[in-house]
This record gives sequence, C-alpha cells and structure tokens, in this order.
Amino acid sequence: MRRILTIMSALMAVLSASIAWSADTPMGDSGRLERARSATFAPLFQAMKQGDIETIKQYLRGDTYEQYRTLFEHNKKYGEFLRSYYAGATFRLHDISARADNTYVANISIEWGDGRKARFDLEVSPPKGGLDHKWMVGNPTQ
Amino acid sequence: MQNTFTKRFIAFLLLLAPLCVGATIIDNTDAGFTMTGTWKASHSVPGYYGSDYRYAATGSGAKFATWTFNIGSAGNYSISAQWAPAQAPWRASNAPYSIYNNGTLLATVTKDQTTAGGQFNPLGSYDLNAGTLEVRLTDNANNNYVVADAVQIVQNSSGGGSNQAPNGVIDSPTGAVTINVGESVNFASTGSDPDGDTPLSYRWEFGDPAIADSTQEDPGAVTFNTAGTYTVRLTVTDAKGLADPSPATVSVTVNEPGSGGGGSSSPTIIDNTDAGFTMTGTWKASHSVPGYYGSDYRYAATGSGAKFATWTFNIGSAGNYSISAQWAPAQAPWRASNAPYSIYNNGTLLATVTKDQTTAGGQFNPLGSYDLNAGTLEVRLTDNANNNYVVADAVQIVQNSSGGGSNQAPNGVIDSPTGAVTINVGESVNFASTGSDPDGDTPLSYRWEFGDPAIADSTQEDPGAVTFNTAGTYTVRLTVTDAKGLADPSPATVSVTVNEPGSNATVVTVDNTDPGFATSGGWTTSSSSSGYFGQDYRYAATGGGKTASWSFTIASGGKYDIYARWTNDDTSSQASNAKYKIENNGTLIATVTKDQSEAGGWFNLLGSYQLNPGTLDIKLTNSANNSIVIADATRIVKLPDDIQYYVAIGDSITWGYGDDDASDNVSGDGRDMGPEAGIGGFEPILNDLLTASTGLPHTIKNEGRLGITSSQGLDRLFPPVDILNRHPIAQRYLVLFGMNDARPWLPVPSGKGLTPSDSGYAGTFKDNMQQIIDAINSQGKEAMLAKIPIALGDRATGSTYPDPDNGARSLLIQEYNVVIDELKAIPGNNISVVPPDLYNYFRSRYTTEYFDNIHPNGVGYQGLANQWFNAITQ
Repeated sequence: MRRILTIMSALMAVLSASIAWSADTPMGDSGRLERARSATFAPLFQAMKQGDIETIKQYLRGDTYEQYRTLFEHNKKYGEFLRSYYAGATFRLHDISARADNTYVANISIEWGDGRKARFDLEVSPPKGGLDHKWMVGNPTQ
Repeated sequence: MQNTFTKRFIAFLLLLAPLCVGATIIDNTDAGFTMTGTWKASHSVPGYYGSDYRYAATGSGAKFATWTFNIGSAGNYSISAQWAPAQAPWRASNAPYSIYNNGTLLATVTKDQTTAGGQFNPLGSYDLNAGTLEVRLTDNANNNYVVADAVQIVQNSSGGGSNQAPNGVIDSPTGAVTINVGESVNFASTGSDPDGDTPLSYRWEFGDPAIADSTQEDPGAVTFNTAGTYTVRLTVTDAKGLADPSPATVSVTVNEPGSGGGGSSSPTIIDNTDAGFTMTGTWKASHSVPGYYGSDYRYAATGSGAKFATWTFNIGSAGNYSISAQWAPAQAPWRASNAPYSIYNNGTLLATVTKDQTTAGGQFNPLGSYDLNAGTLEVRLTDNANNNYVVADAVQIVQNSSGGGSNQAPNGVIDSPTGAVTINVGESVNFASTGSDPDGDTPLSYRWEFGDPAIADSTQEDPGAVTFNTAGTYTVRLTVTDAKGLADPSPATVSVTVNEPGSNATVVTVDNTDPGFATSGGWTTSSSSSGYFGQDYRYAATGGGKTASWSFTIASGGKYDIYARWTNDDTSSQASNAKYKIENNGTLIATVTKDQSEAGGWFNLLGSYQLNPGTLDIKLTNSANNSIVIADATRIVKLPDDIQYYVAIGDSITWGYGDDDASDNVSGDGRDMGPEAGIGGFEPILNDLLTASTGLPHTIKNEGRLGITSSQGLDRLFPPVDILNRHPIAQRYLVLFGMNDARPWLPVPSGKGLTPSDSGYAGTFKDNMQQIIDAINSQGKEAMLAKIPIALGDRATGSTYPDPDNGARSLLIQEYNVVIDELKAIPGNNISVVPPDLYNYFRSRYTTEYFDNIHPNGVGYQGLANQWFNAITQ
C-alpha cells in the first residue's frame, strides 16, 4: 500500500508539472513575463547600463552577435560608451508578444534622467529549456 | 485534498490509457507525414509534439498536410491531433481535418487551434477497414494560420464493426481482346466478399454507349458494332451497399474489317523451330503436351524475367497487324496463368499482354492489333509469371491494313542560333538546322518562318545569315516535313530580338519552357507556387549534381544586366544561397549567390557584366541549402555603350520603403527589382534627372536592404551577397547608412574625431564607413556619401519625439553626420561630391515629406533625389 502511495505521489508530481506547463500561454501571461524579466531582461538591462560586454554577449542571438563582433571584441571602449549612453537611464520590459510569423518581440522602453524616452520592439527568441532560461535577443524591429 | 488527488490520478491514468492499448503517432517529422504546398517549420510556440511543427497561412484549401497510417486490421479507432496553439488571429478556430479510409472520405472535423495545445485532441472514432487511413489538414480555415503537428490513432476494437469491400474478377475475357466490328466477346465474372455480405450485385459497363449496362454476373456474348477501343468495367457491390473500390477492367478493341484498304493478308507464323525464333536462357524442348504448333514447343520454369523467347518478324510495310500466340496448355500449376508477351516495334515497346496458358491450346490466341512501322516486330515472352512454366511455341501476325496511320512524324532541331538572340537593326543571325525522321521517310523538307513579314520564308535546311531590318521581337519557326507529307507537330522555335541601335530597352528573356533552357539531372516541372514567369517553373531538391541552364546568343558585345526570377511561395524551403554561374563563351565570369527565399515573383539582378559576342550561359546548380532550388526564367538587358552606371547601397531609405507614389515607377531605371515590386525610392528619379541633365544614359542599381546597419552594409559588399563583384562596370556608389546604427538599443558609437589607431575606433560608424569607402576605391570606383536624415522616433511607427533634434536616435545621427564630413575631408578617400545634407533637408520638411518616423514618402524621395542630383552635378 505504501509503495502504491509513493508511486501515486510521484505520478501526481509529474502530472502537476505537466498541468502547470500546459497552462502557460505564449503571450500576455503576467507570470510568464515576470519569469522572462528575471531570467533575461533584468540582468541584460543591468549589463547594458554597466557596459558589461561579456554579460551582454550571452543574451544575443548569433546573427546579432555577428553584427557587433568588431565592437565587442576589438573596441576597448564600447563598454564605456554604453555606460555613458545609458547613464541614468531606466529600462523596462512591457510585454512579449507573438507576431504573425510565429516570432516574438519584446516591447522595451528606456527613459533617461533628462526626460528623454525611447520605446521600441526587440526581436527575441523563446528559451529552449523552459521559461526560467534565457530568451535570446536580436535587433529592434523597424 | 483527497478529491483533487483522485481526480489528478484518474486524469493521469486517462492520459496513459491510449498508450496502454497501442497508440500510434505520426509527427510532422515522421515518414508518414507529407505536405502539398508550403508549410513552414517552426518551434516558436510551445505545445507541439516532438521537435517542431509546420504551419501554413490560411488559403483556398490547395495546401494540405497528410498523416498516413497503415491499418493492419479492421476495427474501431480513435483519432486525435495535436498542435501548437496561439490566440486568434494567429491560429484558425476552424482548422479542417478530413478522415479518409482507403481513399473514402469518412468525415471532416474542424478544430479550434487557438487553444488546447500540448495534448492530443479527439477528431472522433471511426470503423476502419484494413488498408490506409489518411488524416488530411487543409488550409481553408479562418484567421491567419493552421498548424500541422502530430496525429495519433488508438485501436478501440477489432473486426466486427467494419464492413470490408467486395471484390470482382473478370473471368472472361482473360485479357485485352481485339475483334472486328459486329463480332462478340464473352463476358463472365466472379464476385466475393470477405465478410460474407451477400447477395452481391454486379454492374458491367461496356464503354460503348450503344451497349446497355448489364447487371448479370455473367453477361455472356456481347456484340460490338462500332469501331473503337473500349474499357469494360465490372463493379461488384455487397449487400450493405459497399462497392468494390477497385473495379476490374478489360480492354476491347473493335476494328473495321479490312480498314485502310487491302483487307487482311495471309498470316505469317514463326514457330519455335524457325529462324526468327531466338531464346535467352534455358528453354527446354518438348512435345509431351498436345496443342502446340509444328513439331514441338519450348518451356521454361517461371523466374525473374531474365529468360525470354523472341519471335522476330520483318515488317515490310507499315500498317495495322493482329498478333496472336499459340502454346501447349496444361492445368495449373503446370502452366502460368499470366504469361507475359511484350510487343516491340523497331525497339519501341508497344504493349505487354498477359495470357493464360492453362487453357486455349491448339489455336492462336490474340495478343492484340497494333499499328506497326516498317522494320522489325519482336514478340517477347519472358519467364516472370506465376506457377511453374511458361511455354514458347508459335506467334502469328496478320496484316489488317497498310500505310497511313503508322507514319511517325519527323523532328527538326535548330542548331544555330543555340538560344534567344538579340541584335541591332541591320544585323544578321546565322540559321542552321538538322532534320530527322524515325521511319526514314526522306527526303525531308524544311520551312523557316522568320516572324518578320519583310523576310521571305526559307526552304533550306541551313538558310545561313538572315538580316533583320525592323526592330521587334520575332519568333523564328522551323517546320520539318517528311517525304510522306507528315510535318513535325512541334516545330522548333527561337526568339530573335532586334533593337534600334543605341536603344537601352533591349530585353531578352529565356523561360524554362524556351529552347534555350536545358537541364541535367531531374528537375520537376510545377506551377503550384505563384510568381513564376510563363506557364510553369522547374525545381530540384538541393544536394548537388543537377544543373539548369539558360543559353543566350550575344550578337553584339557590350554591357548587359543579367536577371533571374523565381517563385515567391515556399520561402522557407527555397534555397537562401542558390548559385548561378555566368559563362561567356564558356568562360566563367561570375558566380552569384541569391536568396530564393525572398524577392520571388520578379526579375532580380544577378549582376551587370561586359560580355563578348558569342554565347552567354547562366547555370543554376542545386548545390544549396534548404529544400529546393527554383529554375524559372532569366533575362538579359543590353545597356547602351555609354551607360553611366551607379550603385546605391544603404538601408530601407535606399531601398525605397514608404514610397507609394506610383509615378516613380515609370522610368526606365536601373532598379534591381522590376515594377512588380511596387517600390520606388530615389533611384529612378535621380536616374531621369541625370540622364536629362547630361544627355547620357544612366542606370542606378538599387542595392538597398531593409533594416541594415553600416556593419551589415560592409559585409554585403563581399560574398555571399558580393555587391562589388556583381557590378564590375559600376563607376560610382551612392552610400547612405546610419539610420539603424543609431537605434537606442546597443547603438553604434560614431567614432567622431577618432583615427584607426584609437582604442575606441574599431566597429564604430566611422570605421565601418571608412572600410566601405576603401572597398569601393579598391575597385577603382568612387564613393559618394550622404548625410543621414532626421529621425522622428525610435522606430518607424509609434510615438514620435517631442523634439526630434533631441531624440535619442537623432542625437547620434548628428554625430554620424559630423563623421561624414570627416570622411569627405580625407584626401585618400577620393570623394569628389559634397555629401548632400539630408538631415537638414528633411528637418524642415518632415511634416509633409515623411511616410513615417524615418522614411520619406513619395514626395520625400523626389526631394532626396533632387539633393543627390544637386550634389553630383555641382
């Protein structure tokens, strides 16, 4: 009887995890957004402000990294440039949404201390290992 | 708590239940999954089964995905499907799945794909017969997309519930039969039903409308009174109304007696002992069983087909012949009931007829009547039959009629020119041909029609040089006729384009159906995708070893634009690196890689080259990535000798995004996308301005690309895009980058005031632009730079800056524009044109000349062209 209960408990745990995952929707879910924020965007925004190139690299898609390869690998002052450019700025992730072609965009805003604001969509790729893993970041959309 | 636990446990058991009784799943990556039309692969949205899923835009129903299961035994089956859901409008709420069992539609079920992902959702339970089950999802749904992922079947019960189809067999005649008008054929059949649903009903359809259908199992003798070839069909239906899905058929040929003159001739018989009889492999002689012709017969054990006996007749004159064979019969299993006789005329297989050698001995049994050409007739019996032995005894032929209908048409080939040719008025083209006739009806006659009414037809095989004195495009046609007056039904053609000297409108197109097109390896013809030129296109799977080639004759040497076209569907499967090799007189002058996953549906510029007179061959290989390479049409455009050739490189502003002013599309410009693209931009306008101003013809090639930065623009100068080498005749480059470098996400530093030795220089806007200038200069061309327009917002659409001059993007652009001045000032850059200041130009006009936050509108592109024009002509 105890063995049956143990097996049933294990099965229930598996089932619970399955239900939790299937309850996720691809967009518009606040829990999902929060997990994306904590897994990806909060540390990425922090790295942007600090000019931490090594950390930024880890969040970029391959094609985007190639576009910045020279700046990342040969420009010794790019980190300093980013620190200066984003000085006093506040980053926010507002939403992640799916587009018609099944790609995703993250809506981002940057607000500088002097009141200047920028808001744009960023191409992002969903995490392959689950929602607590990194989203990979591409370029801003037009 | 206990209640929740119990519910979850039951749910889990239910989840496992299908697996316990043998669920079969076909995923979209499995062998049983097929697609018609474009279904793109994706794994962007979770909830799918396996590694990914396929999706298609909703449409007319022409696209469908099919999961095909082998149903080993009849029974009741539950069918369910999984998909990757997304909210409307990204998924159809009525995706239609159709269920077919052995080709019969059982039901069509619509499912809501906006929800219920990550699980198999029921499509229903069905009584299925053994055979195949097809679940077909079509694209005729609402909203944007339907998703094809996986289908699961679970057998609920076996046997019983499913009615299996009956089967009908035609016992008489046992094979195709040939008779004369007014003669009869005896028809008989046997019907059966695997689950005993009797009585069976029978329906014979005799093909001849004058003969009523019969519902008898054995209709007996049926008389045919009209000449023709009829397919007689027997359909058996069981007591439950289920019909045999594969009705039995037999062919009856009815001839007019003695038609074609002369009547029947006396028969010619070749026995197995005669000279015309030969054998391959061991065929033993025997006279044990009566019914044979002559002194004996030969027999061979049934086998693989490697043994064969051949009766060879000399056909002195073409005509219609009846052929029949005799054998020594024996009951099964000592004789084959399907002995295969093949009929060859001059090496061409006309038919293979199987005969039942267990019966009908002692007589010649018909193998059919055939129109034969003069030459040889071979009747070949092979050993690949059932049962133990096939018998080779004697074959008889009787000529029913002579002459007429059996003459084969001749064929004419144009040897010169080898493909479409373009010349100027007053120039000549050399014409030559070769004619042939399969049945040797010579001499052949030739007729050349040159299309130009001013040029008389020629009856020479090789007319030689023909001069065209009127501009136009002509289809030259060669028709060859044999000595009996039969003409080639598919005359050879070649296109000749004749231009006025100095015209810049010389265009020659070779489509995949034109004589100048050829393939090696297998290229499939299709018209299922859209955007192709002409009536269809060819495609080949990637993998290498196959080539499609378009050949042109270059009558006049000079500068030519070369274009290629492909379809605009299947963008996920079409190669992104299709390789075109361009050869002039056999010498490779360029290899151009084009992305066929985009820009389909119009002629894309491969490049512009100086060509020598002779031949131009464009060869497309299938050594690319993705699934397929498309071979559709190519085009050459001869440029004036004094052409002024510019290339515009840049981002979407160079590309022309936002120019919806159709009046910009009318000039004879040099854009690399035709009017079909629906874009304008500044290039055609500047082209006209420069042409009018200088009196010299200009062409401005548009190499703009949406969304790219200066870094990406630098990369595009080199392979694989290879802009520099695709424009070897270019003189100047118009360069406009920076709008995308200045985006507020990971912006590119300007490099203002820096030199290459500074540690902060690498990868800056200045560094990238300097490398672009260096690359252009290294080819002996001149770079011309323009200052970047003002940005009104962070992205093209959406909110605007309260003060555009102080927007994040514009602030950086202002630094870039200082860099433009710095680069202009470097003597080694050889920049002679003062960069037009597009920032300040649009700063005062954006309210009326901007399409969105960063792109000009039609009026703005006119203004941009004016700015370039003023700078160039200063």
